[in-house]
Amino acid sequence: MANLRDIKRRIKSVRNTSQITKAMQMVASAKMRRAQELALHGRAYISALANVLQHLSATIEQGGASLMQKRENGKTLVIVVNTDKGLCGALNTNLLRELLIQTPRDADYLCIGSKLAPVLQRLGRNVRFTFSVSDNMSDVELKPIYEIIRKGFEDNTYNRVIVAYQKFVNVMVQRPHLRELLPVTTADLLEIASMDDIEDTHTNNFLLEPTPADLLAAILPLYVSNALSQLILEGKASEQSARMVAMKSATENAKNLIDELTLDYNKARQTQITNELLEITTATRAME
Amino acid sequence: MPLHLKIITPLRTAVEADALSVVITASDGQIEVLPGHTSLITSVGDGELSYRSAQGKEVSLFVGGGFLQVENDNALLVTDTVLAADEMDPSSINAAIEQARNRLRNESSILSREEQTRLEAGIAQQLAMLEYRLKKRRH
Repeated sequence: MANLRDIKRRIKSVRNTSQITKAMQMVASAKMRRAQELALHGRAYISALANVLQHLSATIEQGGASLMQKRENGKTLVIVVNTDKGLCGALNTNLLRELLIQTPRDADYLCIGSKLAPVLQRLGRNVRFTFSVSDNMSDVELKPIYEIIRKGFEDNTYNRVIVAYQKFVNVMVQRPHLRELLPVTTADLLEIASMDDIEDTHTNNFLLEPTPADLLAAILPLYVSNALSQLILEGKASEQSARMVAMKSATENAKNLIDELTLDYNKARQTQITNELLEITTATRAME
Repeated sequence: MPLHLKIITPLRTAVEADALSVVITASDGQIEVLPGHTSLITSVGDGELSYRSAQGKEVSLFVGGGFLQVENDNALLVTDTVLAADEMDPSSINAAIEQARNRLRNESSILSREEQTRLEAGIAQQLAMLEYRLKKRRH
């Protein structure tokens, strides 16, 4: 039976695939632990910053800082935090669906991660920039992205900057989420500040040193760039978790497939042996 | 009632402790925060932070620039670096300073202004670290 060899070949190829997915699962889970740690610690930092900033904004009227001003003219810039590599389940697809529903058609897109850029382009969206950020992302990598955002916002090209990313809930759950990065609003700050358990009593009579304007000028850009890097970190943590889960289920699938194929293989082998025995017996019978 | 001191960096919550007093280099010079201090937000430069814990122990740390918020006996310091004296490695600090200086010297034409300011700020911070370490070792 030629079937026997075919089955054997398939078992071998499935086993090879499962080894690859298994290895990817290991790599992803190691990276995930680090990414998760960074994302969770970053949350505490950004909410502490938001907490301080929110107290400032109560003191200074909204007109004070350009990054907080609402603008009439200009387009929306959407920053899409997606992945550079595939094999991470439906992560990018889910994000894309959310993007198409929630962002205006004429918006400009800035992709961090190269997977979604061609897709968006094919759908007729205006992808202006594409960046790749390494896993241990550094300030140097984020700098050009931040500069584009800040300049675009300050010279009125954009009136809104939105970040679309996969919010890291836990290893099994990542949720596509859109967050408005600019203009910074007090409501956003309050929401982010309340993420951490920092006590807040809404005192407004703060002593501000050196001057309110100096403080705001120093802390606001810091907040915006850190808010951006925090969202990218969340995206990274989601990516690694999703990849780990996807690869785990792929490995399990492969294992089931191998089991099934092995059963088929044994059955086929059994049939072959039975057939050979039958032939031998018939032959001996005929010679008698 | 003691102060609740919390120091947060992007990588970790470095310190969370009850303190009887906190001394830190603020924008207008060194300040001491005691329980019952008025609400305050101030920028903080590179330098030493020391606090006396509720058990009366003196703790000293090097902190990078950032912001200090004091509100109802909660002191919250948001900064990018926190190091204890024994965590510092002078040779790597020196190497970092040297590297940054070299970049400033050799690539000044291609570096943007912001990049230059950033490098200079980096050097200033590293120098402050060295100074802090020297001071601590003399004691």
